[in-house]
Amino acid sequence: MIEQAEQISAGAKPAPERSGAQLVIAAVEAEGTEYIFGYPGGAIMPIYDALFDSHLKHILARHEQGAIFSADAYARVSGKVGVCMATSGPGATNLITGLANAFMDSVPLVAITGQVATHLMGTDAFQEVDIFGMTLPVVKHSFIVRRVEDIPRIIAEAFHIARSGRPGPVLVDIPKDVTQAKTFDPKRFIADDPNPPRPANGNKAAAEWMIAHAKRPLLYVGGGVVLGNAVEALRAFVERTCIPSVATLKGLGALPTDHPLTLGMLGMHGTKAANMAVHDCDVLIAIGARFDDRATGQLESFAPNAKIIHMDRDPAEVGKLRRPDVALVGELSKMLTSLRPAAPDMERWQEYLGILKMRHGFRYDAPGDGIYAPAMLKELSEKAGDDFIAACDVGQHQMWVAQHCRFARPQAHLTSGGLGAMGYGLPAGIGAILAEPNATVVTVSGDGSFMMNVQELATVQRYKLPLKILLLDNASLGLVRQWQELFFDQRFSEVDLSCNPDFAEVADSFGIEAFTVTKRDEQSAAIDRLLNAKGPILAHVKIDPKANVWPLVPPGKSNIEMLEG
Amino acid sequence: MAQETICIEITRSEGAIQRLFGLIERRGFELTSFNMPEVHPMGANDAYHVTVGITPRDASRSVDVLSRQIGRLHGIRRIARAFVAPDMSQTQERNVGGGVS
Repeated sequence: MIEQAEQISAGAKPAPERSGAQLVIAAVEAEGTEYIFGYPGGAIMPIYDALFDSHLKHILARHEQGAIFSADAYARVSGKVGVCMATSGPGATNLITGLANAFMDSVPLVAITGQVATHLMGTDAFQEVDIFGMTLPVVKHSFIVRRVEDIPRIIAEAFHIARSGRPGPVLVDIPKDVTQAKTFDPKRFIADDPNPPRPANGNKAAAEWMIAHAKRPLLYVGGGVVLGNAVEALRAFVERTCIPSVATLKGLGALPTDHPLTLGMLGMHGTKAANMAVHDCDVLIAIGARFDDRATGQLESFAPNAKIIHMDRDPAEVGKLRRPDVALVGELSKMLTSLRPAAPDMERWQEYLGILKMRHGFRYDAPGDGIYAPAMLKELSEKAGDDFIAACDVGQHQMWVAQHCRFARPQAHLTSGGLGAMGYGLPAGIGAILAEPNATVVTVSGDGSFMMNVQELATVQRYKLPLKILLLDNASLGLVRQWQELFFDQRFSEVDLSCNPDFAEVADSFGIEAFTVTKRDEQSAAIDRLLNAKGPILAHVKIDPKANVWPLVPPGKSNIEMLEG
Repeated sequence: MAQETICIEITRSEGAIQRLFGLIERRGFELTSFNMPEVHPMGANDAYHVTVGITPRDASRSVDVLSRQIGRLHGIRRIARAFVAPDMSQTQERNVGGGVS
């Protein structure tokens, strides 16, 4: 377990007296942090005052939710801990969606909130909320700092918890009087990592035996592969064994999406080939995947003929929804490297999957002369190349990105997978471009999602970030509209957004280059203009309001009961 | 559905009990009883020793899975499952972070 604080060793030169706020900034700097995303306010003013003297780069978002989404994406792309700050009360509550997003997708993040002074806590003071209590279900851990001496220890521990084991967000709530107090005697933190879980040898042998004797093995690759830095180990395992694979939304890119042994995404909007393969396999090897309902459909009919091998870093995920036949709990990279099954005989299986893949491949020959979003996204990702990063919002376009874009690496696909938070795309694009300034970062958004954090255009402009925005505008909440069409007798309730503003003019008013396209013959030129722009740019793309995402597993149905449109 | 008893040792810290009880309820269990002696004869002074009675709200809820979910809370030192006696000395200890077979 992690040890308690220790006093700076006896005999060492005493530290100068510093304020709590200075200690916060020093502790964040000590973690190697480059960027903090945030928004100032009353209770956190002492920390912003200390920030004034720091080399930390602060990115001023225009809403705390924008700040935390940017920090989230920064963490996903850079592999570092994302850091954000907000004041007490509404500043803190505006972080909650972002905390939930990071919690659901296991993103390492530290959120620092100002709090009213200690003597006012619990008195319903101005801008006082119990952010510690409110966020308990959506953080990996949280702290209220009661003593100025504890600040360095707690900040360091927060970073340690955020990045260790299964990553997640950590909240540090600091009352104003604690940041204003001074101390000569800061405590420090010593991390003592517990031994990570190791799979039992018998389980490894059982998994190897099961794979070697399988006729129809299949890998089910989830986001845990990425979180566990196991991408290279997975790729080596696939090259070694030639076992075909399907991926979850968060697992896309762990294997390049054009790899011959991948069948694409499984689940509700996955490929028919992937869902058929899961249904027909006899051994399913879940790697860092959690049997999420969007992936499994009706759980009872998911992989009904398969023995399950479940590999995960987090023991709490094993058996949560599907009891495995063999469980391997530990570091995925080590387990994948050490797993050496004899090559199974898969000739007929691979031939079968090849036919499935060919028969159920996506088509891009939609009728009409309007822009067909899947074709545009495919062309965009192919032209952008290996440096492409898509920061998605949530809705139909999110599924089209997952289905049709080419991803060479998992960091290339930023999406709010677990929470499904509309408004993620634009601030995520900001975080991504700061993490990888040379990447081709494209925020792919819809007209509904875009308006949820449209104010972050000001952040893009403020820092002159060369972010590319592809706004697919169907003048409606498309995915909800699609469900109302298919499952609610076409009773279209509150999904019409035809009152949208002119998005090109909106971007222009923020000082961002923008243009609108509507016709298919404008598509290639629009993509070229987007990709060749030196500064921020928005392509407003009007698409058919009636376009649907296909294929689709109807709610409550098994994955092989997919509708193909 | 049958009530079960879990004994938990958790590092004393602000919110630790709230976090623990919240998790149990969110994961689909009813808290039917709890006991938290100020001093536990077998435990460390810097820890809480909590014994909770729980009942799953539906048949799909597994106490094994819940135990592992509790086990990954920061600050959990030991967790043990008992069927009868709410006394840590009469329970079989479980390694919180260990492999699952």
